[in-house]
Amino acid sequence: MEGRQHHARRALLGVACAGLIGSAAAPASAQLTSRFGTRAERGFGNRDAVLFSVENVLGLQHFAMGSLSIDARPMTPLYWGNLGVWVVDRSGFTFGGTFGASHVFLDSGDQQDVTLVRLRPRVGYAGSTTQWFGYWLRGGPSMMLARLGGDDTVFSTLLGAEAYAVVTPVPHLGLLIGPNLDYGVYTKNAGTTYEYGLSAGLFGEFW
Amino acid sequence: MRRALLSAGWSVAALLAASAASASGGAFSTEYPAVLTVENLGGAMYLRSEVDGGPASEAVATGTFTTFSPAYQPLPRLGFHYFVAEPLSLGLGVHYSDLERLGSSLELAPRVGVALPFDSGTALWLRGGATYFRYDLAGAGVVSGFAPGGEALLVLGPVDHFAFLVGAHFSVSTGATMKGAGDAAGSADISLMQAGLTFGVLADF
Repeated sequence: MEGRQHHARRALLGVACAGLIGSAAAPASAQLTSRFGTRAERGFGNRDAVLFSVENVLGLQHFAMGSLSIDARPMTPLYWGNLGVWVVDRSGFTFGGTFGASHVFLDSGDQQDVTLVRLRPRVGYAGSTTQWFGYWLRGGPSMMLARLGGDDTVFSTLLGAEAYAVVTPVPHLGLLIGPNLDYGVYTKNAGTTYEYGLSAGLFGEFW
Repeated sequence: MRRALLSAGWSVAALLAASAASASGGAFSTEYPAVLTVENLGGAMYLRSEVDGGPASEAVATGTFTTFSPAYQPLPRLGFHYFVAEPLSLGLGVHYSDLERLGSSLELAPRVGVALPFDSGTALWLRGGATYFRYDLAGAGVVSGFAPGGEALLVLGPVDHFAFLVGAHFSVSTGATMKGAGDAAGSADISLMQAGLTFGVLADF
């Protein structure tokens, strides 16, 4: 009997101590702030966010469309259409896309219109090993449209993917570097279309 | 997912509000002196070129800009600027692209600027300087020279360390020349002018 009372007393003491420790720890943890505020330990891909990205700012890109083949370096921005808007869920799931739409009216004796449109919707998965370093894998279809003057409109549908390393040196800013690949599965009025390369970009993170 | 969508809604609202009062740090130029920019990402631009004694060529570019030809669109620039003393900034914008058979382009745009913060996330950034440019038009000649000009940019920073740039861009060349390619070894004066609205982004540290 005495033994059971002893055990009960120890259990109550334990609960009381745990309560005291817990109540002391709660305000302490609430004060734990970091570069990422209340979501201190959550790196890129582990926190909800909306991103605006500017991709392919620097890098090496090879682009081919039929007989046209171009190696571009080192600044390849918007070549063409690499502004992105993204939603990142804390589970790591991401969706969004990059886009670009360019129109030029040229008058050099004869008048000419040039229109370029590019859209790359993507789903992906992002994660991080630390607050500062993560990864972002994405894939999806790409659409490309080009119309030069009175020529037929060239349209391509491609399948593409990007694999980025993500560095977040300060809050709300990320740097992207990694390979990208798009390969044409359907092209109208042009030959086989594909693009691949290694590029760097950046994004702003809002939440 | 609901949280993410909600977050997206708030972010869009914050951007539309544009006052960016949510930036918790100090005003632009006051707390983080180093600024990395990516500019001329898109907008609407009027470009005019005229070879001495020849016809003028005009172009109006709208949307997102590309690197295909400086005759059609302003070239995107990567810049680094530093606020040496509030509100004065010194910096350099650079474009260099080599598109193989389509030619190569180089722009070096040193800039002196003044930032006028409105609140913690919004500022007006006025910059001026002279841009050195050299465009190798891949068989059609080489154009080079200087173009004094500047930008009047609105800085919209909804969060710390990242902001959008929207504003006017203007430059007009002085003493630029176009040298012929191949057998055409002569050179001619050429004038180039760009004016319009552009947007970009910046990161400050």
